[in-house]
Amino acid sequence: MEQESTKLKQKTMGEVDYRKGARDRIGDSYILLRAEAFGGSAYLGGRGAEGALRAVLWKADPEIQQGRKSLDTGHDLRRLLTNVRSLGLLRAGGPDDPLIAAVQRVARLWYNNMRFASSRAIETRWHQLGEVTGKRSIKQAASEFYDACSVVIKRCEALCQKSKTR
Amino acid sequence: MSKVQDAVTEIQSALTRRLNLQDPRFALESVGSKVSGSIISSTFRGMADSERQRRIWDALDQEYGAESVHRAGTFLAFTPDEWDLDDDSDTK
Repeated sequence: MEQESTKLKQKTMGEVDYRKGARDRIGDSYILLRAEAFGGSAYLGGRGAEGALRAVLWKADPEIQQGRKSLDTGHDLRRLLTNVRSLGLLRAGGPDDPLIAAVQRVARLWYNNMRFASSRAIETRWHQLGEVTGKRSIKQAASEFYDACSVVIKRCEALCQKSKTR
Repeated sequence: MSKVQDAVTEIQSALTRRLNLQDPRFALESVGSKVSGSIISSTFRGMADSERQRRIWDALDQEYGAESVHRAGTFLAFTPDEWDLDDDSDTK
């Protein structure tokens, strides 16, 4: 029993697991957005963005693939982006700028403990950040947040596909 | 043709027809009973991702009705520019 549990713990996720997980999370996020469950939609969209960045890092760094370096970067999206940039995957002012801007936007509004937060608490936080105002509803903010998460996930998917074909 | 290929081909055909996709390319796979993956078409140009998803799901609902959620997983909708990244990015 103990051996089995250790085995399960040792099984690490790879690029494909992160990519498919990210795709599923953004799909779930859209279902919740349509159902106007904005807190859950935002949480899952951000989680998907995290998974997509992890997929790119895993794909690009042989040390991570060989287990010589950990992908345990926490849940800080800006730090994940910094790691992606440090691998030379993006070029400032180049075609990857949409990824950079989108990650910055998602990171400003998403936090790991969103998983425990009520929808009301998320709306209050976004209100404090000026994302939700008298003229801008939580529906509009959540929809644009979904779009930013989707940009991150799609750009990471394209980066993974591109490196496959080389 | 296998059942898996049938399901993928059927969804491709339904989306192409319902969305009137221009020069579509697909990278779809069957995961369990659902088809998921990437759709690339210039038809998505100028649309936010939430709008692309709304159109895709409206098309699937028109095609399959309530059955759509059992057939379709998640689709990422790209324009050709978003999918074919420029060669000057430094992907290793």
